[in-house]
Amino acid sequence: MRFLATALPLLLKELQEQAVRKRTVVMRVVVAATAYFIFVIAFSEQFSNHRGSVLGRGDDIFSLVAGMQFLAAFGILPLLLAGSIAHEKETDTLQLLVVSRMSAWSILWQMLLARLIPFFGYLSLTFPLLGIAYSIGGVEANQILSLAYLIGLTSLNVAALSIFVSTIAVTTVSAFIGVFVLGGVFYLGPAILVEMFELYALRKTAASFFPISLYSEYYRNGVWPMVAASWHMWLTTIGFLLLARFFFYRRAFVRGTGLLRRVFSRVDRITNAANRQLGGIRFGGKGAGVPGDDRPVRWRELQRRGLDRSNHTVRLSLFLLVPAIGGGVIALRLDTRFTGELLSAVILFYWGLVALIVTTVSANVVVSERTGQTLDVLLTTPIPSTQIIRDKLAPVFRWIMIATIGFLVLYAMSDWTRGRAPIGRSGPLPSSYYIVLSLGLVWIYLPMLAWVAMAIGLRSKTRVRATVTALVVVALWQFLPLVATWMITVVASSRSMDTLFLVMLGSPMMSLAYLEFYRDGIGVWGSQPWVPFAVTFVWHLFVLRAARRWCLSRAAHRLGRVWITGSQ
Amino acid sequence: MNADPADDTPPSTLDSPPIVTVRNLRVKYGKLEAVKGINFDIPRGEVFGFIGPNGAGKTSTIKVLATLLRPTQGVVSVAGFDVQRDPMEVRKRIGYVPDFFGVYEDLTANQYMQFFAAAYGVPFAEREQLVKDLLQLTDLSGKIDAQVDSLSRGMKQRLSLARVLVHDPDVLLLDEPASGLDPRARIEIREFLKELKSMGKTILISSHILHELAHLCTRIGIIEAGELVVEGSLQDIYRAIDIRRSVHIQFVETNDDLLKRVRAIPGVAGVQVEKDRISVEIREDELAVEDLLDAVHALGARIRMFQPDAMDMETVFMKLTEGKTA
Repeated sequence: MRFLATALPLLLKELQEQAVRKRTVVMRVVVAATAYFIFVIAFSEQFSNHRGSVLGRGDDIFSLVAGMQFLAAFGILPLLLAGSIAHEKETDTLQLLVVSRMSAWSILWQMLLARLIPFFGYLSLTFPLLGIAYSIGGVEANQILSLAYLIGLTSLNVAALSIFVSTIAVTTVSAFIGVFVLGGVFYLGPAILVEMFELYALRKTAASFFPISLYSEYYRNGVWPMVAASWHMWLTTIGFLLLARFFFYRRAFVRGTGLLRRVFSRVDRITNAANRQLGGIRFGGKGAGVPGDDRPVRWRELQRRGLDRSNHTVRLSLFLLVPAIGGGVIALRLDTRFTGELLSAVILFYWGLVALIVTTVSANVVVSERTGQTLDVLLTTPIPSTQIIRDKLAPVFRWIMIATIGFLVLYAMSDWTRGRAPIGRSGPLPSSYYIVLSLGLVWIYLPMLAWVAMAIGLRSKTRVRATVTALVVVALWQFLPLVATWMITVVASSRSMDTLFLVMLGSPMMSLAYLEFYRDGIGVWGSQPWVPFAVTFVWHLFVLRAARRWCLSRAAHRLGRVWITGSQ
Repeated sequence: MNADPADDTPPSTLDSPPIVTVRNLRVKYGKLEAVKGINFDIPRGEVFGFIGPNGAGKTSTIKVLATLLRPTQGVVSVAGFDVQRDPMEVRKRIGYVPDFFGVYEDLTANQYMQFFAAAYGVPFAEREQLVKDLLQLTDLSGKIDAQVDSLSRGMKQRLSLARVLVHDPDVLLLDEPASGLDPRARIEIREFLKELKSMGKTILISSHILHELAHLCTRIGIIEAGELVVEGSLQDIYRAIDIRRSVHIQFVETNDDLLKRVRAIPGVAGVQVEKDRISVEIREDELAVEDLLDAVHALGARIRMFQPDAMDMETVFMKLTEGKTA
């Protein structure tokens, strides 16, 4: 302890802080409970009914645990690390670290270790399961060593990427969005590009960027070839750390003044100069620099995100839509037999990006005022609490409107490219069905995410907590219906596909994936393909309304001002 | 309330009912009781100095008045409106400056002011002139298009004070408005507050810089560990706690007979003889400093020096508080 206090004081402080936090214990319990629950569900039948049959089947358990560990590395680690440096910047405490005797490398490493050590603690919760796998046979010692090596390297790689993004990000929100977007591009991008451009010679190298695929190298060639094939992961880890070090001081004191707004105002200066030269021709419209007669909060929220002027909105639309539509056009131009699937992948990626932005921004709109110490002043004005909350979400709904254009174009492209997938036994899904269902999902899921994230943000005291909690809740939401489906199948031995299908569509991700990928029908709801979607629409509309009602029903109380019952 | 600062207060407001009333206010955070049943009134047009060590309950009390905190118990009203029953009406009548800046750094001073003018429902047509006037009042006219982020701390605080005036509130709640400012900025804030006082605004101000409050306040309340130790005008408090003022007098010629006659002056509590002067302790409610000078002069003594000690709020504060927190 004395060594830590003198040599690694930041690491000691971070570990001590995490140790006394209630949520650390809660997280450990949740992670352990989830892992053991999945294990019990997956193997209870074999263990209880056919005891002899499990002998030698340790490999199955091992694969399950390995999958869970990789999932944790990609899901939990970015949540732990993305806000680390960015949060210090927001609370103006990074400058205290910078002026201390610690070097930039020392700060970065201590921050990194302060999250990696607890993370390995989470992983260690699954060790007893690995012990069971080893004891019932079918798992070699080298297999365990390979997993340890690969999961360790993957964690280091993800951690290096996360701390690099945290170093360049000005706010925790941008850090979280940045980590997941850059992570998605880095780990999945090469494989997608290879498939898109049919560069099959590079398929193996591209796939190896996704670390789980490296594990198959062990099965094919053994431990050392797998280690050799992981060279690029070491290289990129070092690269991310060098980049983090490079930007550490350069980005330490950058203020979040709205990159887009700065870009727009620079463009405005140029267009205004052009307007003066060209007389009556105008390139940029003059927008409202001050709030109008009512709803100043709405004006402020739109203004700080560059959405208060029509010309800014058009530019932002292009900024958001060009990558989406561009991806769709590239997929069309490639004209391979996988064009339809590629378009679906582009649609799902766009979905992920928009959902990530909607969730993180909505979770932060109130908590950012709270941490910026401006909320109290706002709450002493006579603006009704419900109006404050509604107006706070104004930019989110404008983004959803902009994103809808992108979705519309992508869905139209997708529909034009191929015959729509049939649902059930009733034949192909008509275009109108596909477009209406898809846009219905956009207009129910995204507002629902916004209100759920807003509810979480209203209960949170820090931006990191709001963002992490919102992302975890949204992620769990995607998987819980799948777990429920699995439980019904295994525990209740239900084979009613109609029921299982309905439960599964409780996951927004599954609804989207189903609409995109299930081309041949799965024999359910044959003559009434609209039923499952009607049910999922009603269910998510109910959640949307419940979250909205929760936020607005006691808005004053939730914002932190004196309230009177029945009137907010 | 008989102190001379009240001379600035319009006479018509002195007899009006209090604009702020706090009765048996209790505020609890879980098991911690931050405010333990305090009572006080602030008549219209007065400047009430709220004094106490850190953690005494000042900010909690101000937050209740600002409708940001629901009292655990008690009745608090502003301009006749109960903060729990009519918080919206209260908000229209108060201007609140928290103990931090609470400014939107990415707006210009003009946009910041316009934002709050809109928030308080000031008609659009009136806003531009109003903002100009208020920025002129706070000497920020030259910064109207400057980004708030680029302003100094003193300027930001002046901007906050300009902001609370956009809707011409009856009561200003100022929580440590001068904390963290340099001496010049503090003086500027103090002068501005004097101007507000002369405009007839009722002000509740908490501060640690006690001598500044002494120049400004017509009444003070000292709070410690959630309890109001004393409340009233400064002179009333001096009297209540029997603080005696020392006056240093140097005579051209001192003798025992003169000392005996000085001790006999009504209101003199004691006389201490020092090397080159005497120190006379007086009870100010019985004998004013000016009267002592007249009385000594009447004794026929020739005076070379006559210097009363300053009666400051620090003395009162130190005497009444023990440094406890709630």
